Amino acid sequence: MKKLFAVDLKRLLNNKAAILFAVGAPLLLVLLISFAVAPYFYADVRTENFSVAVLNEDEDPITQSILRGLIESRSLGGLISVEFVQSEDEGRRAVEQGAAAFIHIPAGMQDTLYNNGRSVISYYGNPKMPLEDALLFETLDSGVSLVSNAQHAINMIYHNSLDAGVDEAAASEAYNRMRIGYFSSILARSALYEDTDTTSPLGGALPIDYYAVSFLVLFVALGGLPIARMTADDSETGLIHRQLLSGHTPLMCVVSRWLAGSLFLLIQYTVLAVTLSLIAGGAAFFGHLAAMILGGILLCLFLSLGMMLAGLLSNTAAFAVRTAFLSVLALALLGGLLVPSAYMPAVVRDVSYYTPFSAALRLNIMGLFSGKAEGLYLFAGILAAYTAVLLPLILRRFQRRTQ
Amino acid sequence: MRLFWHTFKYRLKALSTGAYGIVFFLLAVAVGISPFIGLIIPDAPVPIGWIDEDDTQFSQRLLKNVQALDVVWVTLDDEDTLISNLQTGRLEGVFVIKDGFEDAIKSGEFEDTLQLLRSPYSTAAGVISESVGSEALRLWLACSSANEARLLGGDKLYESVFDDTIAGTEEPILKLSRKNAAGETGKVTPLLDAAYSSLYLLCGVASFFMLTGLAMTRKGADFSDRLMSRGFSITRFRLAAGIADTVYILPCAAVPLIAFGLAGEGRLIVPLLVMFALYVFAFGGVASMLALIRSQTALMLSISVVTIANVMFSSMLVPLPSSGLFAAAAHMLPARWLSSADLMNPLTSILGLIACAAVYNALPFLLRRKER
Repeated sequence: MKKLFAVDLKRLLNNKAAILFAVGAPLLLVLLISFAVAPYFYADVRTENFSVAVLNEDEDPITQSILRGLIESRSLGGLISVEFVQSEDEGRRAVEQGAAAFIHIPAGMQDTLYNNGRSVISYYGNPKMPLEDALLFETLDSGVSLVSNAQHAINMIYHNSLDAGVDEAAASEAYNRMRIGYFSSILARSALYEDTDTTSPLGGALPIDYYAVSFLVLFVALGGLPIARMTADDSETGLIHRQLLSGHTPLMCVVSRWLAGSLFLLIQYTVLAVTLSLIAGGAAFFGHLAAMILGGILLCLFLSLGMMLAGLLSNTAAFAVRTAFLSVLALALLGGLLVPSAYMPAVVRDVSYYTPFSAALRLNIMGLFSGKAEGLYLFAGILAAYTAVLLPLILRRFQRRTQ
Repeated sequence: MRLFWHTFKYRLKALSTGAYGIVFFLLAVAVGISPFIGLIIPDAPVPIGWIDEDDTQFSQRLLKNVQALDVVWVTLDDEDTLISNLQTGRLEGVFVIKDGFEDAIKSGEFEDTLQLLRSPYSTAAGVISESVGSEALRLWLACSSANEARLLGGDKLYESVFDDTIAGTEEPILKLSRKNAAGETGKVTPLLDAAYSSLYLLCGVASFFMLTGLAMTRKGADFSDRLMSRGFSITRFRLAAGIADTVYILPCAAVPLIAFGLAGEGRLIVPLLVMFALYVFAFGGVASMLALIRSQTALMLSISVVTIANVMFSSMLVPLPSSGLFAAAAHMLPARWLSSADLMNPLTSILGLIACAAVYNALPFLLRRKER
């Protein structure tokens, strides 16, 4: 058995290039994603400062005050530098020269609102800067929507007061006093929550731990493709028949390949898990050690069996790799690795909860980042159950194939 | 040239009659169709829990308003059950309406009146906190305005301002309108969005099809020694096979391209078809280069890495910054040119893809080893 295991492991890590790739390739990708892509989407991490051209034709001090408050707000402060322009042409030229957007506040906006009218602020995004454009528009749109609600509230004070026979000067004084208070309150709306450190200043930005672990599970899964190839190659090379003729049982052959594959994946898992927890968690480890070890081992055992099944179901190595890749893709989609299960339809979400990658994802979030999370036995049980179902299937298929 | 043509025909025939060629084609079509299914299924609300420590008229009104939102689905249960579901990821978040919520809102305060307990497995905390927070602020705005009205005109005015403010307006009083360079309101329809998603998904799958089909073509298995004896190298064989694979997978692009036509962007059909063909062909060259890797394990891992890098760094999955060293380097990926098609002149994208296809298909000839 030991000899078989050594042979199978050597088939996977047969030279320096293979070892280097097994460890280096996913590591390189994770580092690239972590430093080049992830900072733009994760909570509390911001893009580099970018400029925005503003044409403010409304000279009302309230508009100036809202604008200043918005620029200095928690959402946008430090993120944008504002360049005030004098005409639409100048604004559009600024966008052509690299500003992320041009915003046009129409003349007499406050007067229009005061007179119960409606006003539209025009926004021209820079099509060459889709990320900055999307972040800015999302932040401004939610702010403007709240300002609209506040304006409606002030209008109600003013107009209902007049209808009720209140003196015009008093209603007007209340209107002016309240709108200043409302707009500054809206800009400080994050104070609504007792605890806001878990939400991003960019609103729609995403929590880093979820996506870090998604990458971990996905990369380890795709790192298992050589196992599918190796299993498919078994019948072509005749190695399996030589092993059986030399007295090894099919069970021993299967277990040896399974464990060798698992160890191969565990090497990748360990490198990635340590790197991700260093990048995402900083110096401190917030996870649950038992969950991390259990999550890693169970994921690798399951994946190794899954890859073997893909290999056993295929006649050629190319077909095995394609089958394995598409299976990983399907499981990743269903498990919420690419699109979080929170956004799935209710039925799919319920199914997703019990899929192997979803269990691995949660187990590893708990293991790497959140020691307080619960469900260790549930998620470990789900992964173990899938592994237990796959094992006899594979053994049977292996026996049929070798016969 | 005759051998090149025969190889092309042989490969095309093998793909269109062989099981895996047909299965992969159907699968690519299914992948292309998948984003359109999202147009039929409505967006699912995010599950949240609700703990009302205040239990007053205002806190109940807030719950009613939140229940009316499309983006969240509120679960009411005892605290232990909700927290347990939160900790195992069944709920994305639990909102706690703190004791004294009504008193605070009535007196014109909103600080620390809510608490959001976030699931350790949550991805939607930003969305749900913004949605529920907006409802709480609307309540606060109504209350503050009504308080002011009471000072001006007594309880009757209080009631009327409160009710009218809570009722809101059908159309927003102030709105931000996104316009394009021509000054017209930008028209990004869900169908157009789905067409782009379909095209990008297809690109991801097609690149993998090319990589596994060509890079794993080994001498002896698919390449006859007789061809080599007639001066036809395996690199040329792979080039011919790459062209055949491109022609074979090309009809899959009909799915997103028809959608572009239906979405009123028929002008994009021809440029995108050309781009898709060049993109797939460029991956034939990449596959030929990867085929030079001798270690099968390293080859498999390279295929995974190239596939992931192509999707992650090409702005297909998520928009990426358009300037800087990283953005410039990303243009080495064929997918980056394709995903820039709506940002730059289509001709520029096509020229970029022609350059990629030419370079990646020429490199294997320069890098080839003596393979006999």
